[in-house]
Amino acid sequence: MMAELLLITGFLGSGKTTLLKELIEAFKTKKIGVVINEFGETGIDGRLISHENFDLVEINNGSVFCSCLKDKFIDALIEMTKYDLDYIFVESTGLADPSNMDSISEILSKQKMSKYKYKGSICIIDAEYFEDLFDLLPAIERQIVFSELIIINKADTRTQDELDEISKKIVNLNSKARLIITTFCKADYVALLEDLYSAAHTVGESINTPESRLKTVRLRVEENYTMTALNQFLKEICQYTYRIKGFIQVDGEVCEISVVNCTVNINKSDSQTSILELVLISSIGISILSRVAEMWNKYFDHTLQII
Amino acid sequence: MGKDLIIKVMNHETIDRVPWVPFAGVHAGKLKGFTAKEVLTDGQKLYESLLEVNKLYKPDGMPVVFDLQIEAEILGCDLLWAEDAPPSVNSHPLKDTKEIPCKCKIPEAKQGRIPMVLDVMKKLSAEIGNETALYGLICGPFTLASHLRGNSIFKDMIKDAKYVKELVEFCAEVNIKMAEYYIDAGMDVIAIVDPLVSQVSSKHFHNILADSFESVFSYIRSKGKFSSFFVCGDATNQMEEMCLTKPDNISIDENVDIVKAKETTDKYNIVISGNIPLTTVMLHGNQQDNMKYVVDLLDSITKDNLILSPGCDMPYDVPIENTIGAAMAVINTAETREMVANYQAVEEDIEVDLPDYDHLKKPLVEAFTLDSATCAACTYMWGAAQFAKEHFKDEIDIVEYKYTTKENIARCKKMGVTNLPSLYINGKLKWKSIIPSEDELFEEIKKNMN
Amino acid sequence: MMDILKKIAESLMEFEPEDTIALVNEALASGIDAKTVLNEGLIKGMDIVGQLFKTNEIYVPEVTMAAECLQEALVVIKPLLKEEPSDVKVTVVIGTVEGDVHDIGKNLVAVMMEGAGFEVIDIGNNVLAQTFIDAAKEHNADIIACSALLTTTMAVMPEVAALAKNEKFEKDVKVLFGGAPIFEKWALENGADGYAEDASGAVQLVKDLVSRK
Repeated sequence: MMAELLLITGFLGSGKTTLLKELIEAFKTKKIGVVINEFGETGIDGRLISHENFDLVEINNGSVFCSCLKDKFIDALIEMTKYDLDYIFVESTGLADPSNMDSISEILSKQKMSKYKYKGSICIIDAEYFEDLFDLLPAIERQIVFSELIIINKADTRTQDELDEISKKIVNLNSKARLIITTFCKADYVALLEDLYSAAHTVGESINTPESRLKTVRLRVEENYTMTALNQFLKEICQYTYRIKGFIQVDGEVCEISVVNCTVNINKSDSQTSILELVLISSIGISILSRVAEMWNKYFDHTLQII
Repeated sequence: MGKDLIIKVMNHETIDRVPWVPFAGVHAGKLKGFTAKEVLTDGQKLYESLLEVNKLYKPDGMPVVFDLQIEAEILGCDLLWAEDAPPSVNSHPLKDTKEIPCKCKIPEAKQGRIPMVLDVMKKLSAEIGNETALYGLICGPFTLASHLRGNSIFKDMIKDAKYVKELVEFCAEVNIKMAEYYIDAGMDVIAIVDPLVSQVSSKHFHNILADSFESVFSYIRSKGKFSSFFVCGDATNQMEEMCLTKPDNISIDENVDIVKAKETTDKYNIVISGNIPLTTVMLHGNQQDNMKYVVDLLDSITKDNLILSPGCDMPYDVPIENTIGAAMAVINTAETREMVANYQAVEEDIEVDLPDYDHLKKPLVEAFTLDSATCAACTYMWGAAQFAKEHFKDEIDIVEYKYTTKENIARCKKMGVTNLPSLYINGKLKWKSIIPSEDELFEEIKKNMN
Repeated sequence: MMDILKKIAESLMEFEPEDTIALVNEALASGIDAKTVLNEGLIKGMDIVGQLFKTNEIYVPEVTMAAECLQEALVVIKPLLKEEPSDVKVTVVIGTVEGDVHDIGKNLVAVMMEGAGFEVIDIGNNVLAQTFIDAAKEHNADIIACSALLTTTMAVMPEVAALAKNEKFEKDVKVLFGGAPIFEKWALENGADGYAEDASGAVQLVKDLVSRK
């Protein structure tokens, strides 16, 4: 049996993890492999799905499409052949570029990995920040161009007119892909994947080369923090980040932190096993370290622990 | 003492005397008779040499290895090795291709010479880490970038600053990784050594390089360790911008006027280190020159936020007695000031009677020392003589001449003793600076018995 | 006429080789002879660059780019130069000594000398002492300039000086030492005929030595 390989792309915070959950739910009668390429070398995204009871192969150290990591990606797929799967969903980091997929397929076939068939790429667009991020990150354009299914997510954050504008822009770049507009990634994925358009792609050298590399910083946060200080810290540091994620103890309770474009979400977590860490994805390169140190000392008395 | 002094000065506390950090890189090998290449590639030899540095030079802090090519070698640069100097980078992997290396190229702890270095660091930290502050030295991000890119990097700075900034950021990530390894291996101070910084304008430093340096120093601070920024060359105009990257310490060489530079570093409450001239004083001067230079320097500068050190990596062939003299001058400035003054004042008019060396009844072992109470090497030299006395008892005579009196200075002049400590047997120079082993000493004494 | 020459001189600090070449061509087209363009435009310009470098107003990146402008312009102008009997031609053989691969400083000195109108033979880095002598003979040089950045490789320089003293050249060849660890006293004691602190000092030194002959 041949497993169908699907790539999920989209910028950090656009809803890839939600989509993955949706897909897992939609295909719950099938055997599914998930390849998660976590950001920041921590298992935060991984942890979110781990209690769904799925086998998880984690690829650390950045994007699977990073030229240097292609090999590990292949290893992950080889590992998965043991499980005789129907579908494999590969979640890539926010800046990953799917134009490498064809060459990866080629490597797979050379390795006699004919157990896989690349079915296509699903790209999630964060409607809320589309314009900001689109101008900022060339990788998003590539993700759109090389996708077969494009999901405009978080539709509830925009007006219909704005959504039309976004759609127009996307169709201009890729008129062949299927385009849907959702909130919380809700859609009939069984049907959508059935007739996923599979066009011949232009093989492009991935632009997910160093320019678009992410600098992530992990902070160990094992103390207890006050909501006020944490909020102020996040509000100030967020301007230098694309994304902040993690678990932290706030006023005695473990909370899950999610910050996209300075929208701070702090929610009580039901997870008992969370590792207390914050991961920041820098929008200013390595200088994030200096800014973190500066803000940290401004708001907290605890020692800053960069991992 | 020792390490305590370094910690205190870095924390800007008041201390009794200025700390002393001799940068004995390849020069450490000279103390044990090993070549530069040997100490930079053979962990055991490096370890033995560093123990000797700790013993002879009585440092408060010392570098473990001074080689700015360790990272470059792993990143694909060819090295040109020398017997008496650190290697040089001989090829530049990014010379013809303007790329940023993949993050996967950031050196791992098992690559290149890193395992050797980490091993020595751990051993040294266990052995002398309580008494002496240990410095882990890392090739700074700009110099490392130039190793990778070659001289084109200077053109790039004007034509494609963005590329240089990104390449330097990559190198800063290498720095951070190296700092992590070195801190885990027990280093107290992480020094980012970037000689090339003096070769670009402060504007270029500010626009292209500063962020990377500041990030590295922030990281080191977050690990609870001290950071040091080493520069070589005339970095006078870059001092202010260097301070703004917030290292705990800046180290300069003789091309910068340390008294003036200290006004700047003091403004930012940063400790300054420097700056005994490497060639004119340390390599080509004599012991007197070194003692005088240090005394004069200490007399011309405020003592807080200050570490006395050579300008940069000491040349391999620096005469050992020169460093001993410099050490003595830092550790006991008052006494050394006296010695220097006396040396200049003493004329031949002080009558000194030399023994009739040709007609001695039994071997005469004479130790000429700066002061065996405060100069470590002198202590060992005089100790060797005393040990021989215990062994040979009445069969030999021993005597110590401390450089602290005018009579003894006159004696040294008359004898032609130029290096302290020295050990003479029957009026002949046998050992200078390097302490003889028991076997060597006994054999030499026996040769002089009738 | 003065205007365009001044523009050429100033263009070196604009860091656009194309612009310098365009200005040089414009000057030539307007009838100014190549030699004047070289002396009053390019060499003047490099002189300014040298002064700015000496006083720490500009640094290696700026000099490197100015040098590139100069060198590209020299390609245009050199074939047009006619030698005149009154010309004093100075030939310099320059290199970094054996065991040493540092060439930033050596390159700067070379380009400054080129900028001063000397014929410069750059024999590269990690150069054997004998190679300096051979090159000086081959090119009938006036000056042998040795560079070293390391305290250890500076020891090769006296070898070059000693070989030069024993060699029978057609001219009275002068040997210069330079580089970060070198200081005047040491250089003169170890066989050098001269020492200069920096690149523009080296140019002046050569001028002095040659005129003294």
